Amino acid sequence: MNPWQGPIEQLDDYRFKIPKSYMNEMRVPGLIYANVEMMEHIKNDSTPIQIANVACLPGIIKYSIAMPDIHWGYGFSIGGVGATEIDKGGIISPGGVGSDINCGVRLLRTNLSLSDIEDKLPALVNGLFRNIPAGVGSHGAIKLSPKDTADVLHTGTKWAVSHGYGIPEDILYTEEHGQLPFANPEQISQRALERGHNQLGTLGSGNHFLEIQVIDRVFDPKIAAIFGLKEQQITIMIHTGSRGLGYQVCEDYLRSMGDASRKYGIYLPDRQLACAPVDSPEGKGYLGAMACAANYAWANRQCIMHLTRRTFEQILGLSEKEIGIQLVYDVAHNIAKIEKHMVNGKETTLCVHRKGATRAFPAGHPDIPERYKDAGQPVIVPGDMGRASYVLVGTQLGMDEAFGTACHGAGRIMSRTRAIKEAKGRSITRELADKGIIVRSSGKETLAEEMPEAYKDVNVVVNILHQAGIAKKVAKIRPLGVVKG
Amino acid sequence: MVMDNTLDITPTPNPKRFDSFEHTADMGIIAYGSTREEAFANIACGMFALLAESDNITLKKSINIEASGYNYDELLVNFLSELLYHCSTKGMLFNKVAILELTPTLIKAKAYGEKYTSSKHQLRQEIKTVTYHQLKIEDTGCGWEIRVIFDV
Repeated sequence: MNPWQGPIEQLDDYRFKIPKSYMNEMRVPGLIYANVEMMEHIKNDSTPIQIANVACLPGIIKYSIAMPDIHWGYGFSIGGVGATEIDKGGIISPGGVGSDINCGVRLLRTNLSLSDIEDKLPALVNGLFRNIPAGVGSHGAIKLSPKDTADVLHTGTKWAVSHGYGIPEDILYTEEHGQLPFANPEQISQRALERGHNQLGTLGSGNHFLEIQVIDRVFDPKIAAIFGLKEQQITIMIHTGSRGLGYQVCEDYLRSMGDASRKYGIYLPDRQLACAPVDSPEGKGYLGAMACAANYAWANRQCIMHLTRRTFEQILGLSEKEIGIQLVYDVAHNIAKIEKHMVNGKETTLCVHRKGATRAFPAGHPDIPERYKDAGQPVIVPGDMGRASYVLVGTQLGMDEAFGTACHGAGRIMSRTRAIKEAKGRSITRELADKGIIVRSSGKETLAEEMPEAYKDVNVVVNILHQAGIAKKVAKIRPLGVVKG
Repeated sequence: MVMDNTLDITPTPNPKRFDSFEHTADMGIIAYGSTREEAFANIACGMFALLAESDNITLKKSINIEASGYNYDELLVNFLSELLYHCSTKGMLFNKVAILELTPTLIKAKAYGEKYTSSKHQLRQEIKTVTYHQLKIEDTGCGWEIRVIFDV
């Protein structure tokens, strides 16, 4: 990949701009949240060209935005945000969502502290590894009849809770209550259904994980208390998405969007940015299908949460109430949403693409749970399996500047192949064990691919957003036990 | 038979069927062939080598594959996606592909392999989708080369 040769203007310590003049077709400038050191890496990764390409899409407003965990992706970069104005021919693009539709993460709090589980940690990790299918093509936790599949696609988390995989409260603490209303199962291909019928309640492979963690540090005690978090408390994090069903929806629509782009005469600087106006039949078709996959992903994380609750009860021999596993929040970080934002002093309906980026609404926003109204929306940022994860909170500045969006993780820095090479002759399991982290994985090469050095330092990534005022740090969480696919 | 004493400059195609290469977060395959058809067949086998250890895939079963597209690029992506579909829903692993017909908009092929068995096959990684990024189908002058990057 060629290093970026184009112009970058530094606006302040944490903001960099790609001017509109870089390419004739750019409709808006690019805006990157980073620091000087990270910017050098971003330039070498040639992601700025992807940010500029997104800035060419019809209807895009303000900026084509990149979060500090940005790295190269298909069409949009991972960590890319693009909002289009629907009334002005704004488009929707599967390349702005990604192949794992509604890949996301949920954070669970418990009544337990580190001293309560230290001895039982190996048993807990083994129990989770046994009870929650993980790995390439994992399936089998919950089998769906065709009627159930349709219901899952329509109602997401609600289906899971009404079938005993959770409690009504879980719905309240899920983004969109775990159900995008515009889901249209008629837009889902038979193939996508086939791929989805036996994968609910499975983790999958790659960077997906389930982690037992402990809160290492609280930065904002007031907001942490509102989120029900305190130091030394045990938390659990679940990171997965819509599995094969979502991949198939992406593939189906990347194909049809190629035709749609030609039909609407849309200039595509990259075929992976194939798109259609949100208001066109093709755009509505994708939106309806994407919503189905998103709902499936929320049901998936909900079912895994249920299996986690049962596993903790089984291993610890305590009641559900004693363990007290409750959902802090569930966020989607590969999704396109129809949202209202203020644009030039006017409320405007936008299609906000967040690909490897997390919604981060501020205090007082109507779409966040009542309990969090005075604090803002929790933003869950998983790091790599050896360092840390974070809980942030959305801010008004982030709302005004970045359509209420923050980063989604640490961001890859090393190719999978290079990570495997670098890990040759090493035992990642032992290295993590030396740090007090127990890890179990089903794939032979997963641990090498996912080793901590393969990622940017999450501490640096979240500090950039904190300093820029786009989201604020609430708590830092340390991994104790990790289940990988 | 009249012998021609000009130098034989017939290019020698790469004897390997395919190689893998790395790409930021993902993986790519470069496949070779003396004809476009052969390169199409080899890229398919290369994709399955990314998915699983492909040395011990026995050619027990064959499946007819058909795909269409607006041009060769789309055709290739749709063809590989079709093979992936048989893998992800029916558990099929392929290690040989015969191209029966190839036009710029239509491909017909027969793929040979067997069903995945956990005791026999080692899966390497999941391929989410086949991408258009830096996709190349070209006649290099010494054979055909196809480059495809996979979202893994």
